[in-house]
Amino acid sequence: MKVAIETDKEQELEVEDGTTIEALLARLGINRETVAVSLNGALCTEEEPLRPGDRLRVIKVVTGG
Amino acid sequence: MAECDRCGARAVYNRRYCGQRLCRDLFFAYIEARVRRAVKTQKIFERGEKVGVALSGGKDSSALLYLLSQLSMGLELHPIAIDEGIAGYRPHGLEAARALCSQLGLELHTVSFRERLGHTLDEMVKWERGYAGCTYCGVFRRRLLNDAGRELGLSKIATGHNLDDEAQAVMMNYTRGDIERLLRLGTPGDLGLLPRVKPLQEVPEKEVAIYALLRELPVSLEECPYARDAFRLGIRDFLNGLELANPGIKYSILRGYKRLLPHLATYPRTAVKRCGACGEPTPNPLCKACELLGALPE
Repeated sequence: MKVAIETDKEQELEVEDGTTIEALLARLGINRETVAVSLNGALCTEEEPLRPGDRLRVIKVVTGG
Repeated sequence: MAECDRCGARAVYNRRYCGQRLCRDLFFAYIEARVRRAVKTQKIFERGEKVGVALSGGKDSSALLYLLSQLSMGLELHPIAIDEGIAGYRPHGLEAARALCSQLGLELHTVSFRERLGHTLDEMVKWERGYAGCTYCGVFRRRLLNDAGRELGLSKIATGHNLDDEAQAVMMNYTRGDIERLLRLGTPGDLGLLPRVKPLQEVPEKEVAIYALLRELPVSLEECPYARDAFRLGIRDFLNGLELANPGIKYSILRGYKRLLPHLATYPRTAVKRCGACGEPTPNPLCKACELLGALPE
C-alpha cells in the first residue's frame, strides 16, 4: 500500500499492510525520540498502524544549539 | 488505534519511560501537574513574584511562558526576547513571541544586540577572531538578559531548559572532566548573576514540543543557522540513541546528577572577582562579554 510522508521533503512510500509509524521511522533512520508525528492532521503515538492513503507528517522537535 | 491508558480515548503520546499512553486532555493535565509540582517542591517562585521569562518564540520558552501564565500564584511575568540579529531566523521567533504575548495579555520586552552592543550576531561571526556564533550568542544573551532583568527590577529569570538540555549539559561537563562547571550547573546564580530557574527541567524536550503543538501556541520550530556546536550535537544524538533503547535514561542522568550534587559541595571553586572593565562577577580579570567586546571592531 502507499502512504504519503512529509519530513523535510514530501514523498510517497510503498509499505506493507499493518506497518506501524514506529517501523516506518526506523526504516527511514529517524529516531522517534527526536520527532512528533501527525497522522492525517492529528498528533498520535508511533504505535499507530498505517492504512492505505494515510498522510504522515514527521515534525522535528529536537533542536541543536 | 492506540488508546489512553486512563480513559480509553485516542492516545496522542506514549510516555515510554513509564509505559503510559495519554489522550490530549490527560497529556495536558500531566504536563501542567508536573510543572506545578516542580514549582512547589523546588520552591521555584514566591507568590506574587516579579519574574522574567526568557522568550525566543521557540517551543520551549513559549510553552514555559504559557504554563507559568496558568499558575495561580499571582506571578508578575515579564517576557524578555533577545534579538541577536540573525537574518532569516530571529524575525520568525520574534513574531511568534509577540503573538503569544498578545494572546496572554503580556508586554514583551525586546533587547537587541545591535542596540546594546552595536553589532548583530550575523556581523560578529564574520570578524576574524573566529569564534563560533554560539560563543558570542551564549555570552551576550546571558549578559543582556541579566541587564534587562535588573532594569525591570526582576528577582529571577525563568528559562525554557528542558530535560534533554539538562542531561546534555551534565554529560558535556562530565565527559570534559569540567567538575567546576558541572557543579555550577546545579547552583544557578552563584556567580552573582540574577538567579535563573528552569521549571521545565524535568520535562523531556519531545513532551514540551507536543504540548506546544497540541495547545496550538504560536511557535517557531526553525533551527538556528548557527547551531553547530559539534560536541553538544554529538552528546544529544548519543543520548537520544540511548533513550530509544533505554527509555528513561535522561531522567536517570538528571536524578543521578542531583544525588551527586551535595557531594560536590566541598569541591574547590575558582574565587569570583569583579570584571576589571564592567564590574560584573567573573572568575577572570575580564568577564567573557568584555573580552569578546574588546575583540570586536569599533
